Amino acid sequence: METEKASIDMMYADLMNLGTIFGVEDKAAELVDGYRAELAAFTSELETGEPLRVFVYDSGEDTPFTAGRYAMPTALIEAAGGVNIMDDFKKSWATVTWEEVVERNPEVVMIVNYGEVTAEQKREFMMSNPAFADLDAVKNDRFVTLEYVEATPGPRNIQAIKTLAEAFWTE
Amino acid sequence: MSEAASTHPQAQSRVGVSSFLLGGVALLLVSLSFAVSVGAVPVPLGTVWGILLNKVSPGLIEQTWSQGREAIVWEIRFPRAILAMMVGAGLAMVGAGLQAVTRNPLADPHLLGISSGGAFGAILALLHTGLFIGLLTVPLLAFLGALGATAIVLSVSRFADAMSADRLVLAGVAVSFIIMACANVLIFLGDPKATHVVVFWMLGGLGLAQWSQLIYPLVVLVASASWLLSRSTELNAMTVGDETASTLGIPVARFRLSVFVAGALITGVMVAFSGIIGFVGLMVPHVARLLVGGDYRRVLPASAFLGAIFLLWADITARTIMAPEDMPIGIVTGLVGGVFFVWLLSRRQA
Repeated sequence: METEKASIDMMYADLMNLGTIFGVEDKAAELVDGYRAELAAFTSELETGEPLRVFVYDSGEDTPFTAGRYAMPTALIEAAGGVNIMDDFKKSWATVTWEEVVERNPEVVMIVNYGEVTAEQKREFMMSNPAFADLDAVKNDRFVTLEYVEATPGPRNIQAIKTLAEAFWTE
Repeated sequence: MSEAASTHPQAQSRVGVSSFLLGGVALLLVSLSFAVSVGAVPVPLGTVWGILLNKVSPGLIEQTWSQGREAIVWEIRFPRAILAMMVGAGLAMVGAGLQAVTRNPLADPHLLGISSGGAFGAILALLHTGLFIGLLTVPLLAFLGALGATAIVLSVSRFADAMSADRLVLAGVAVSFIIMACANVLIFLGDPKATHVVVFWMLGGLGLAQWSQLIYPLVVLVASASWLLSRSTELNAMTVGDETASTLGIPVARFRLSVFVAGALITGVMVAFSGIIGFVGLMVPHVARLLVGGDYRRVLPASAFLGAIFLLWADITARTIMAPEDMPIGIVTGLVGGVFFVWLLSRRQA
């Protein structure tokens, strides 16, 4: 069986499963419905255009560690009206080459923030490296930062989608 | 290494050296042009040459390629290939030098603690201190770590009265283990989410190469390598033995330490930009001796050429075999180098 592409429904399924395990199916269903309604209300007001090409920059300077087809950010970006440039890369989180990133020319870079190297330092690295000078995201300085917990599966994904959508469409 | 004493370089080297140099340069250029034309993103050879010619003399050829392609060839592949050549040449020459002064065929830039110090510095920056002085923090700390490790090896060798060749190697190995243990403590204490960045420093890679930073390894390599080359005859004497070398007027213990320090400078700066790339420094000098004999006037340049060419091809393999993923180059050099070494050993026995 081929693994499914990451989607926000997987997070809902996790919550429902947890509800079943702890015998609180009703509460879980209520929570999930609440999230669905919240997102639906949010996206209905959003004016989106052509899906934006987004590159997930987790870490790494020699080679970028990024999110592939099966990683949560692919789902978050899609929910916010973008497309992960590495969504044909059949992995969860993995390293790719900078060549591939340059070739696919992202319009927005989504930075995952954690650890000692700050999001600002990651942005600075991409802004200062001459190899990236012609990327649309770098030319227009379009970076958006998500915290680690927002970019990995969990209830904070809802806020993450809103953060992404605002960065994509209200600048 | 008794061949060193028995060869007569004057008699046979003249023609050999110039044709060897020509062959080396030709092979290096072929490897270099191949290295810049292959990669995760296929760029036609014509485009590669167009980009290069336009860089040499702007406007020579009409630009038919995207800015992205130009960045891939000129800003990513080219500096990377040049770094590969410098690292390969540097590590191979250091290995050759250390093998002479320790008379130990296993001597290698990474055996003597230098690289462990470099990795320690890099890991400290990446997992604990953060980039407190900007983007050069990691290479700078790696270089300082390598120099620190060198100083420790030197003081241990003095403290343990290890002025002989064997004891210098043993001191290096001991210090290397201690520093590696400390580096592992740093990894253990670091944020587990971030520890994957450490793989680069442990297994090496050339992905950090940028034009603006290539000057540092270049300066150190040119200075230290030309010093090593200028000491070829002393290195020849050292391969015979401490007594012989000292009869010839060489201050044996001091000379050994000088070679060690020159090697540490090269290794330190290479580790700072490429992590620990194993096996090049150990293997390449043996291949060089097989090709050109034991005279260090030829072993050193031959090692430099072979090291540069070997690392170019190792990097080509590392970044194409699993594209779009980049395999750490240390896996390739270790695997290819190890298998080749076994073959070499079995051949010598026959």
